[in-house]
Amino acid sequence: MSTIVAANISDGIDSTPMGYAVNGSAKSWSKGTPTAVVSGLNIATFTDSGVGIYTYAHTNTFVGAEDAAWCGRMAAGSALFGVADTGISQTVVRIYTSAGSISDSSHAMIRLGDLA
Amino acid sequence: MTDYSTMPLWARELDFIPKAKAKGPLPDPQFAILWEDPSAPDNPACVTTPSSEWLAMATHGGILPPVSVYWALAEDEAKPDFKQHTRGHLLHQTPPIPAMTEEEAMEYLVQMAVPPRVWRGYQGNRTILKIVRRAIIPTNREHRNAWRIAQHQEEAA
Repeated sequence: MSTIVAANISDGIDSTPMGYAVNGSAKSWSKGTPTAVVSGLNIATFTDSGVGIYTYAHTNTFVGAEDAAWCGRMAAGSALFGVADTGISQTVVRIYTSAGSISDSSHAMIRLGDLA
Repeated sequence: MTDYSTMPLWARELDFIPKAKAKGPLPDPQFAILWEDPSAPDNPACVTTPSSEWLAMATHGGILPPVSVYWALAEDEAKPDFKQHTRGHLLHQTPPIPAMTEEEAMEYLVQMAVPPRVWRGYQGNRTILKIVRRAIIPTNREHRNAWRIAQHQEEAA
């Protein structure tokens, strides 16, 4: 594997520090159903912990829990939303209805931050 | 065969998975871990399944670190003054382990992704941990939050 070392990245017109590109890249993402992960990056396991509560364990642990993660419903319809809690070695996704009750759903999750 | 031991762990997945997918579909996991948390006895049983990407790396060999690396990091996280990991190099520099069978991979995952209180030191009477074929896990989720591990060998959950 080769390594390109550069301070900035440019398309010939606009330029941005490489740090934005590196730190702005997702370090983990997943596409899941209530019973399994369909595909993903840096996902070792999917745990179905009950209705609407899904835990992803990461192959490469994060440095700390001070990261950001987002999740949401993947299927059509907008009556559900997700909450992603960042742990160090895992991310917990909870899916809720607009009425506030927890609910099973296909979903997607993306997490930024620094890897250990 | 690529020598992944010289790459960071995260880079191994980025290199290996596209090559593996180019050869055909990744393996569909055949097994799952059923477990109950003895510290939360009212919670339903959990079902842990590996991702196809992770399982492909596990059965290929030479990519994943020994599970003891995750234990070492977990010990660091459990310290009261823990702020962030300073021994992440263990993930990247510890020599990777050879290929595992899917059964061995599931035993690895028990020790990596399931809380130690479930698989180490539990002294209750209930069976709180089982590795089962995914095919026997119920697909009807109507009473999902009432699932418990069946205490008879012929039943899964």
